[in-house]
Amino acid sequence: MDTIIERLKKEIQELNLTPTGEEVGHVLSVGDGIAEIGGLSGSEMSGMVVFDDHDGKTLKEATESGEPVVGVLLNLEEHAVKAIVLGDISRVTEGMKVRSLGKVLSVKVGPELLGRVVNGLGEPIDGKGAIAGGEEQPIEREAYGVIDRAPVNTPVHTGIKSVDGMIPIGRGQRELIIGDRFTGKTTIAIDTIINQKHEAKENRPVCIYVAIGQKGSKTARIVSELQARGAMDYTIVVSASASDPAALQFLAPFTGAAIGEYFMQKGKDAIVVFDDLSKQAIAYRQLSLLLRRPPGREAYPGDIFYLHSRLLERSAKLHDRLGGGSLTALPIIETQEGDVSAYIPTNVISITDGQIFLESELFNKGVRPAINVGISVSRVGSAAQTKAMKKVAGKLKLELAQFRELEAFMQFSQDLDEKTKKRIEEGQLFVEILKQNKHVPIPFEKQVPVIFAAVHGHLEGVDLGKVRKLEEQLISYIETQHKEILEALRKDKDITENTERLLVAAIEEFKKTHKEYFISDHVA
Amino acid sequence: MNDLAHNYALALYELTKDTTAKPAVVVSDLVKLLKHKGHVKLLPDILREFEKVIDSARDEATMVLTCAKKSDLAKYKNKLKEHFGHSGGSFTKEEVDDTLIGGYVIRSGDTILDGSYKRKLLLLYRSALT
Repeated sequence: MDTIIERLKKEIQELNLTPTGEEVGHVLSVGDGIAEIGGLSGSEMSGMVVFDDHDGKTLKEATESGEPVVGVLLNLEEHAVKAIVLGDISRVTEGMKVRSLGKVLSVKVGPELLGRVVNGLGEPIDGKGAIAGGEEQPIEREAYGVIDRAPVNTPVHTGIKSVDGMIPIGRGQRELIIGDRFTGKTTIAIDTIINQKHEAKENRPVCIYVAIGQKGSKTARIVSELQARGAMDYTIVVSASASDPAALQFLAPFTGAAIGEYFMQKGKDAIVVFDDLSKQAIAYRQLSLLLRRPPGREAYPGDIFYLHSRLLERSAKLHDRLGGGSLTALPIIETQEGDVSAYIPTNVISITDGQIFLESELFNKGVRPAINVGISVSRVGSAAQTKAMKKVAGKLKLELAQFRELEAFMQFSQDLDEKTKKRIEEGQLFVEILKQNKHVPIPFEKQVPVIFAAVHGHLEGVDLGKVRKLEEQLISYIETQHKEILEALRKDKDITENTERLLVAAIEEFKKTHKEYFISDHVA
Repeated sequence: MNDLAHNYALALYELTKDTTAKPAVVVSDLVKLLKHKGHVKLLPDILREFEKVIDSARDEATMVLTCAKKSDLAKYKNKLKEHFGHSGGSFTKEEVDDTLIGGYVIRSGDTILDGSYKRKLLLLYRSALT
């Protein structure tokens, strides 16, 4: 009790109550989340304003009416300015006084946010009370320039074999996850967050999951999943759900980026997931039309490309001179009927450094994650891929692409020559090997032996229906009987001659003791 | 708002503000110009906009001192000079608003100076909550 009183006394002493001149205007009209304001001639773009609904109210009424409603100026016109209202619009009335706060929209950032769920303005919505401390950072800022950046050179391990093996992501990269609804886009992002638990604590990236226009129930499910897997300790969730105003859905990704940038500036690594930017584009289209900005293609405003490019350009790998931190962006885009040539998908594809393309057809065939490796690319990630993974997964992508071409001939397999038959069998094995259950990311040192065994023909003759079980057993066998292999892979991040020898011996030993996974005539 | 009418009104205001020009001459010249340009239809709009411009200019020049009690008005009158360098003269308006509890609020054009006890207590309340 005493400490609370002391704290309050200190706060009272420190509170600056000397009146200073503030710029005021008045509401001319209000509707659809937009307020037109007269006055405020000295305002700046993205400036914050507060709608003063305390005029004529007693102190008691004013304290009971709740937090003041704030707005952000988006249109500065000749005779008036237009602001998006970020709170309860029913409290904003015509003629109401509007004060300029003299600052651009800012949010509180800092390690205090870890483990918390906040709204698009960085305010807590998880019922765990106020967030103490933290520093204010503007949600919009210019991205780092060329001189301040360093090449991407450290991998982000997603724990997903097909991504880590064939579409590697580097820290500071922007990798788009794109696909139709219900193809597992969010799962890839969430698995990536969960897998960071396997990283050493000092090296572990801070993860920020930004839910834009999602159902509240989906976000709640994701938060509880992250909590159950112990991933909330290093994760912050920013949620602007479908029921939130369009303004908050438009701002939430910028808030996520500002939070991530804080950690990047402190020399740490951060990963920010924007789930998804299609919904942000829709929210921005709504606001722009209400602000009477001219509509363009698909009624999106002319600056829709700039909206996404300025957001994604903020992810970077900083130069050592600036602490060497990084911000990796994993934006998600939802397509309709697999159409990647629509306006927003093509925009974001051209902005990002690669894309992971998910297909409904593969998903329905049971190939999960349903990644089409043929058209998925990572433009900068290979520079960051560990040598061990590069060595084992090098030919995987090509083999799989060739398999997809030959797949059509599978029904005539009786008439095929031995070479083609073998290639098809190999392809089927690779497809099986790359399948993975959701929310069970595998650390890279455990992925390597499995892919190694498949690629180097050690799993020839395996019963395809038993591949998943075999994989589990092989990992567990190496973990218990040959721990030194996993340790060497973790330490060297490479397959040295010695490690390769040990690995081959371990796999052959495993095959001898686990003959039930192989079709008998193939096992020597 | 008709932008053209607003611009005519602004021009009219600027010209009539100039003490050397005779208002009657300015108005008659405006009418001639409107006829010449085929903008006579705008005349009612121009008058409406002109009234708004005049009101806003008057607002800009007026200082409003608001206190919680009538007896406080005299006490805080010196604040006008302290903050704005002059006391407003004939353009000063005085108002009483008992919800302010105490202190003063001065409004001059687009600027407001809120030194009321209500605002101070509200700030304190919000700071304690966060």
